[in-house]
Amino acid sequence: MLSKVKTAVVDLDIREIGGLVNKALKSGFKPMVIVQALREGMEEVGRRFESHEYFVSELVMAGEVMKAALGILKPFLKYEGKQTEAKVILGTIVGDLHDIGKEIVKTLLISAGFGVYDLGVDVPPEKFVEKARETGTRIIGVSALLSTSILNAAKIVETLKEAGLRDRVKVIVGGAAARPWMVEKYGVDAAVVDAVQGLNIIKEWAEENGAA
Amino acid sequence: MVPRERILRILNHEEPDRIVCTASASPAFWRILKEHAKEPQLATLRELTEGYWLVGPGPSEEFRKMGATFNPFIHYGVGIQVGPDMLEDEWGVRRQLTATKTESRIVFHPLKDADVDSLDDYSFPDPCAAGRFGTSDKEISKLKDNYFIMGGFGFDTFFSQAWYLRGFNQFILDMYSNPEFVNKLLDKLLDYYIRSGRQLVELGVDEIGMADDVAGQTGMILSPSLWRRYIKPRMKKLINAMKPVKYIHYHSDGNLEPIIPDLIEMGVTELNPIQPDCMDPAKVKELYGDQLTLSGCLSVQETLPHGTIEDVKKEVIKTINNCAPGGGFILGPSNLTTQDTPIENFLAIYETAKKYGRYPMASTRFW
Repeated sequence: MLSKVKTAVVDLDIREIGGLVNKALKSGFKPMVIVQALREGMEEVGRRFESHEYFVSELVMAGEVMKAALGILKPFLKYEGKQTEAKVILGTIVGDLHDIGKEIVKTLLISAGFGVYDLGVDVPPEKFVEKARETGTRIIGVSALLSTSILNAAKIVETLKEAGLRDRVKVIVGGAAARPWMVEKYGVDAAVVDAVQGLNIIKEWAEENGAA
Repeated sequence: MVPRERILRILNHEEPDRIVCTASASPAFWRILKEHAKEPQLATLRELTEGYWLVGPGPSEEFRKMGATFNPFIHYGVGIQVGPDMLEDEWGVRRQLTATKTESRIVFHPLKDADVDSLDDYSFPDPCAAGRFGTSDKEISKLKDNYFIMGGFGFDTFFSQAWYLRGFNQFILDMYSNPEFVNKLLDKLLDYYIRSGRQLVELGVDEIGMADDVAGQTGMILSPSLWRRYIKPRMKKLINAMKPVKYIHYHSDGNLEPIIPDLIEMGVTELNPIQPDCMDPAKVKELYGDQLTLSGCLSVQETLPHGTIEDVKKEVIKTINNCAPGGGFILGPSNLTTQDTPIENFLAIYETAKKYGRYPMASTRFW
């Protein structure tokens, strides 16, 4: 049963996923066990994206399948008690309004069990830092498609230093404008051009942090 | 050599007397360039970029009368002001500026709640409405003898325009779960483009240009199979309907290597912008250079904004050496040059192309 749920995610089967999740619930599987099967499906989708078997359209579609499944499971998950989840602050930096990449990362993060504070688009560096201070979140993901936006993204690092939070909070820049050399030049902790790479790094950080 | 003849030689894969360039840049960058650049350098830029002239449909007379304005910092920025820094275009798509007022994004998709039936209620703009081609007509009559004229559609086509109308995630979801809706919407768009393009053909353009961003930094956005199922057959019909025009220019950002053979098969003759950060222009030249003119090829993500003048010179020389032999090559920034680019870097493209871009070339790559 659970393997069918996983396969439906991998096969992007939006028509079947609802029925399969309901069937799994009726068969007595705990909601969190079903969520785990969904996540395994998403991990396989991520692997296929990395090997160029899947493309952005498939990542988006897998995200839609996940949303449909989680929509059914949400009321049941409440009764399982609050999960200890790692949190990530996400936003597209000021001067940039591209949000397709950010939305994909958000869906991947939620699917992988992260909590996400989505600050939206055109977000000034101070807003990211304020949110980190307010919530104690230790990972900031900033999206930047344009090279003009990168300097604004780098200002998050400076603003974190001024706020005395730099040691606690890691910053990852993602998007077409991100380059590995920006880690050294601008002091960000990672810079990646695709969503799955970003997810993998954030997962590593969350493991290092413990849930935060 | 007359500029038009030079471009024709290039597109026919013959070597002209020298390189031709494009000067693609954002409005914010142009503003800075005009304020700070010196005349001799601008003269070189004008000289190297002379030859291509772009025409296309404008807003209808009726839309102008409704109060349509133009904001160069908004993508396809002709529209009615419907909110602070927000314009609604003729399709009902609303775009808003960033806080920095230099970029825009779509904030309203008019077909977001539509279904197969209600799509009939949506009123597509009339591609032949009065006022659309007045400026194109005048420019073509005036410039046709000296310039090579490309006619564009005025905005992105098929996949891009469909998701502008519908929403990005929703349109992809539709492709998997609502093919009837996707086919109907794309057919309506195809009808619009054919009618619009025929006007350009009748006016006497030399080339039809179409843009559709179907690829991203590391690969296709739309999977090749979805593209082949939904987009390719319609693009093919559109290209066929543009005859006797034989030059077809296609623009998509990103790495679209998987569909380049399809594009050639359909009759695309020129590919732009070939971002070197996404796919290697030398490889594209080697594999397809005898059938496809390469346009662009200089990095707007790395070299132009972050490199030195020396880096730009090196990239220009390398790109000329790799791509210019045999013609079929137009050099330029591989997308809009952004405002963080030093103007000296941008101008170095044209200075270097002037110095190293004369045919016959010293490069022995192909002979």
